[in-house]
Amino acid sequence: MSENKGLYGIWLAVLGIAIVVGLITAVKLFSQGHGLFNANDVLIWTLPLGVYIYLALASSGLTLLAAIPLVFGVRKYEPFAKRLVFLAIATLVGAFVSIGLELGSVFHMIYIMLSPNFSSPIWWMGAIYSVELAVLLVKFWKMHTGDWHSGFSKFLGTASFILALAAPLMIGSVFGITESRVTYFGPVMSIYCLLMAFLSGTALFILYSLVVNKVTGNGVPAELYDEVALIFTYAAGVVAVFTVLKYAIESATVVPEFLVYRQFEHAFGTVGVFHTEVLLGLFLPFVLLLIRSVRKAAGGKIVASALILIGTLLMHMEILLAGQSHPVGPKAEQFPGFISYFPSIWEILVFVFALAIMLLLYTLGERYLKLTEAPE
Amino acid sequence: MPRYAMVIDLQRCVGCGACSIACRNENNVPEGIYWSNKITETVGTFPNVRYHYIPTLCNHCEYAPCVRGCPTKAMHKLENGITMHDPKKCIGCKYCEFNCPYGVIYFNWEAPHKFWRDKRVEIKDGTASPSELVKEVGGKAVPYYNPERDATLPGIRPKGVVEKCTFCDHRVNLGELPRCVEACPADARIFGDISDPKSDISALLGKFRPFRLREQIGTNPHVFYIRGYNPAAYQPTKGGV
Amino acid sequence: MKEKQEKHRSFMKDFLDDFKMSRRSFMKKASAATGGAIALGGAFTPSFRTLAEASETSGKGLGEWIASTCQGCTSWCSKQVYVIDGRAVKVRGNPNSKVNLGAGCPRSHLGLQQVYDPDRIKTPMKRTNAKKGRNEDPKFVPISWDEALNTIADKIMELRKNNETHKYMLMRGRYSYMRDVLYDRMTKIIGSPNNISHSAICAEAEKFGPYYTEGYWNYRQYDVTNARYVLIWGADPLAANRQVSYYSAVWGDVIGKATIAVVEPRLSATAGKADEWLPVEPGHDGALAAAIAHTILVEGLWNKEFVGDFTDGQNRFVPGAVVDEETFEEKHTYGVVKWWNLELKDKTVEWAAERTGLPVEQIQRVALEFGQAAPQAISWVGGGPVMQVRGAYTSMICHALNGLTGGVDNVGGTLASNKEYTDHFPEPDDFMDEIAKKGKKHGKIDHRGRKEFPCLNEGKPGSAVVTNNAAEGILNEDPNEIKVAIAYMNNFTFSCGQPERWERALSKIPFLVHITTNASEFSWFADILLPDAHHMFEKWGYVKSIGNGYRHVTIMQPVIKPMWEAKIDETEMPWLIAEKLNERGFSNLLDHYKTYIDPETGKAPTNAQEFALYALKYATQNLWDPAKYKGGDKFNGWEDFRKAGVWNSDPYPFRKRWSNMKTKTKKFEFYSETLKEALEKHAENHKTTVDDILETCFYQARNEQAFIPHYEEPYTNGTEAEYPFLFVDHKSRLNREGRSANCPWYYDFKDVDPGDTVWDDVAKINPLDAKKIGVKTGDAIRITSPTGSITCTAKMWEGVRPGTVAKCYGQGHWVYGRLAAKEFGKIPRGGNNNDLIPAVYDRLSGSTVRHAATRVKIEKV
Repeated sequence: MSENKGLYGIWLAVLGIAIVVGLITAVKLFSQGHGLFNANDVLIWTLPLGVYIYLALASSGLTLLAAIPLVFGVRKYEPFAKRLVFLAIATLVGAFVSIGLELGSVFHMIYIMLSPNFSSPIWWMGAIYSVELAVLLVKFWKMHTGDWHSGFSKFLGTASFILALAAPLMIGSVFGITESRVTYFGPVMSIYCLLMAFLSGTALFILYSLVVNKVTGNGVPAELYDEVALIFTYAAGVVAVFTVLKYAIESATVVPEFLVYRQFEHAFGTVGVFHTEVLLGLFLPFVLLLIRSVRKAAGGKIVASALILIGTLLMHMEILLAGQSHPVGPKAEQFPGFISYFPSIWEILVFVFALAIMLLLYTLGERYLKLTEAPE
Repeated sequence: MPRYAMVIDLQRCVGCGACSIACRNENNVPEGIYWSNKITETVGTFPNVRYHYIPTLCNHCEYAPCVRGCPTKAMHKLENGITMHDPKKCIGCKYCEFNCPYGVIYFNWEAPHKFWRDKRVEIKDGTASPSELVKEVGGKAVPYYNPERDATLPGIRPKGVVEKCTFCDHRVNLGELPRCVEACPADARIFGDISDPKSDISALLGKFRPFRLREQIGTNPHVFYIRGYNPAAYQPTKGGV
Repeated sequence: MKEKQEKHRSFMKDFLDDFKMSRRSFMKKASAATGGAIALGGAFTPSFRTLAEASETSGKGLGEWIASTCQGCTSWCSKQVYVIDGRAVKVRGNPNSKVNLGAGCPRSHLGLQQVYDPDRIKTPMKRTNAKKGRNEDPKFVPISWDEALNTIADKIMELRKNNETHKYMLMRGRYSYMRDVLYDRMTKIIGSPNNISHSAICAEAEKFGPYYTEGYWNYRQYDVTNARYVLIWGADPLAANRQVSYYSAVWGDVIGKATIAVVEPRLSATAGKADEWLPVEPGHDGALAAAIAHTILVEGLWNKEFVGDFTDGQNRFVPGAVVDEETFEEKHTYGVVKWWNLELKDKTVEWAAERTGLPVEQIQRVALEFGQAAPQAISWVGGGPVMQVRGAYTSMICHALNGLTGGVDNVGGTLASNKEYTDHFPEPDDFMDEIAKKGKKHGKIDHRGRKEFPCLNEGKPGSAVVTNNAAEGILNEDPNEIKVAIAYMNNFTFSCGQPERWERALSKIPFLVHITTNASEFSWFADILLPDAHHMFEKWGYVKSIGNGYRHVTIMQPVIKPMWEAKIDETEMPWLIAEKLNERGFSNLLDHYKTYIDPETGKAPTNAQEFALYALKYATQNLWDPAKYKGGDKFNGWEDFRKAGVWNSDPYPFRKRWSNMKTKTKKFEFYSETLKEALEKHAENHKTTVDDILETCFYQARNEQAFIPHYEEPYTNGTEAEYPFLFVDHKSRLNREGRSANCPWYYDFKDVDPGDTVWDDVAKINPLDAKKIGVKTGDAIRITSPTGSITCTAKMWEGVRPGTVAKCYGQGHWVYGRLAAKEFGKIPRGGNNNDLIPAVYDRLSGSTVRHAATRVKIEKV
């Protein structure tokens, strides 16, 4: 126990340091500007935006998963519900940290309310996630105070589910209506984001729960996780099919932007025609999960979900970077034809900051908020 | 209310870039940001080679993706068709820059005019530092700062917001031509009201078969190009015989 | 790579894909837009003020447009500077000029970053490190103007005391026509022959051809708007020199009406917008010109009105055949048959194709179309083919084509200068004492007029400067040492070929004063630096220039208060020195300057500022004083003229010079009696033969050939085996004579030079060559010639002739400023082309060679 306590202290200290470094990063960014990022006027959105998308989608995925007990009334999953809602909140807060440090003039955010543009997917995305956060917070409060099944509480559950469906679609459409970048254009990105949200949310939940189980030694019966792992497998399968389809179309087309896109020196390398992160972060865990014994083993779940969690982040980054890898129009005059990218230390620190906030919330929540509570 | 538009006559254009440099000057644009720019291409293989130059600037699209996507309406349309930006409302999400099909929007990644904020001196007491010089001359941030720009847009945009061409709305409001038009030594730029059938640009658009950049994506850009950069003659043959 | 390029191309195609859009859908959208606008229903109809209108008033803006002049290149355009609260904010073309028509080229704007360059020297400075050398930091410290002037005056007085005033030297760089105050009068009155101008590193060879054919020693203007064929030899009028603004303004019309052919191994800005690009093998331009002349004669396309014809009208110009001179009756030309017999009869298109590396068909086509366009045809000789070791004759043969077509002095042809009426400053003779007269009789430090330097300016041997050879004179103390030197607005340690020689030469001068805006490579060797006023913003002066069939005289005026302690080089500074000499008992110079009286008040100047203004008013009085009106624009007085900023001549009087040329025969000479006389005079001076002179000076011509325009093989340093590439130097649209390198805009817009890259100094290499030597775009490379070596960046580019490497001049400064140098005083940014170019000369004109003289090798570093 004392050993655990010691570890807990170290853990909190690590998070504390990370948060202090994060705050310094924030001050630095607001005083010196985003030139600190390895971004430029061609590669406009980089790691902090990728992290935002990743965490925001994961949060939506967690909310979607929570809907199984909360909206669709599958009661045996109720022991997961409170933790899922809490994780969704904490993960969304992490996402907000990352986007907050990505924006150039975060103090002008008031104009999102004062001067809303209803035709802007960015506006809708911001609005939906803000409402989502509020809804989740109230829902969590209701659950925490024992109100799981009142009409209002149920309404909150349903609302959070609808919002969690809409939000990934909206993130997708931020890209999907960009006529100027053919590789993003169309509804594909929205569907992709929704699927990725569910996949990464599920992965995050499994990984987190099992790690917490290992560390604290208490939790939900292991069999229940086997069922979630099956859902997880289906999700990975759907994303895998979707990804193969996307590759097939991309490699068959002769639309010039896709040709340029293909020339992109892939951030994480390729094996054959497939990107490394897709092979190791999607196909490999999917195959692992298909093996029953692996899926049933706690270690197997942990490995597969960890791989997918890393994989989905890298896949988001790959898509984000590849679509911006070549300069648009006259920007080709001053920039090289292809831009390569590696995050600057400041971008990595934004990521660390977002993760630290998120993990701190997880830790405190786990300790003080009785996350495995379920109604009788 | 007029609807402003520009015609660029590529045959008159000599590819000198005076438009872009004058624009820098007029709008106090920092290094690395090009409100006025170009697309060049060296075509062919030696000795059959030519160089082509297409001046570019904000197209002041009727259906501007930057305006549609801006979450706070910082990027907006004026009644006269100009696509205008209000840095006060800009949250620096850069979505307009991401969205712009023409690569004409830039982000202020750092406080502008870094060169002029330097305090280093090359010869002690013998030469000045850039910041000392700016102080000596006056101006704001740059010694040749143009305060007239400030009439409709902050004279210098702060870090964290985007910026782009405004058709020199501050000049147009006074009945003056955009600076790139005035500065073009070749008179290759014609500016005016496309809704007025009697305007020069209406006449040119009827006389020539104009083209616009990436017309197929439906943004309805209002910068039109006529004629060709290199109208070279060649000896006619009967189908290459 | 190729595949990659194609992919990129197809992407570009998509970007420009809009030609494919159907007319109908365009119409629909356009009318929708129109409808929308009408629906908004504003009655406001905008009317835009054009430049000319706007210039009349200061408009609704906060500032005022004040006239001045840009000397960023030698176009010398009249400008207006927009001044707000004493700050220069913008620059534009002066609409009052008929030469530049209100147009302003891109480099003019960079003037703002020159006048407000933080690295301008603020005060006079003196050197505190007595050792001089490239690696010796001079350790400059500020001193007062008084101390600086006292030191200078003491040094001059010492020379006068010791009767060695010939050891005084004045070096001139960029000048206005106030130059004579400092360059001529002061040097003479002190008593030295050594006023050395920069002219020979500019383009004197360009003037050689016109002078020895039509008796005109100057740059030409070209009536392009009336021409039907414009054949350009190594000139790039859309980018560099001369009348860039004017030619930019009319080129879109010119290319619609005339055929434009550009002869140059690199795809220049002008070649990019031409009908024909003739990427000639460097140095063989003369062969192409010979073949064109040959073809014109064989095809009977010469202009009969100007040249005349065979008495019986039968064309005897048959390839290879000698023609009897008696059978041809010339009108306004002289020696066409001699020319044919001596040079042209065998110079067929096939012969030229072998030498020039151009296709027979192209040469044939250009020759025929050029001839058919006569007389509205222009053969436009630029620096490229003539600033070469044997460039004088190339200058002649390329320019002689204008004689065959009758384009000389003709509508749509090549024109001389219009008349202008500025006055000389008062003569110095009465103020030259015995010391001065004796001192001035010494030989010049640049060796002009010696056997190996004929320097035949306007037919007079030894009359043209050999700028770059002055370094040898100083180094070898030949004819004497130089003890005191003043130099202004020059940078020979950067701008001359093999500049390392200048570094040694300047280190040798015990007392060197440099008048400059920026501490430059030249300043590095100086004992005193004096902060110079910027010509466009801080100086009183005037220049004259031709173009568009007019000549203008345009003034520069201090539109702002001079920065820091800057003073005007050509007037204020000599006055201040004169005052100090006066204090030391030598009053002649000040007394002379006091004769520059203000024409309005009759007052003599009493201080430096008054002197600067009075000298200008004195020189330009005929232009602005209605009582002295002689022609051109008319003004009500000085103030009226100052406000307009420019005087325009009367329009060009075509054909007035036909048979009235300043040649020996008054005709256009294909056989140059004028050159013959000059060369024979020079040979006689040295008691030898013309052939011996030519041999000494590296020319191939012998006997009669010496007097006709003809082709000579290029003279090149380095062997092909060791140095596989020929080096092609060219100029930038943004170069302000090598002084833009500290302007941020220079780098941010460097790619307005076709093939160049922003924030880099690239050597352009044909992709075939690049592949051979294993170099690709972006590689750091070292270029080495027999005389030097530079490092820069490789750029693969199709616009370069294989076997050549083209690089823009302008970067490679190791001092000058924070941007110009990578590390101030130590490491250059990019490479200076002159480090590669040997100090060789076209000795007939005295010109320093820049082209076709150097072979180089390229290595990756």
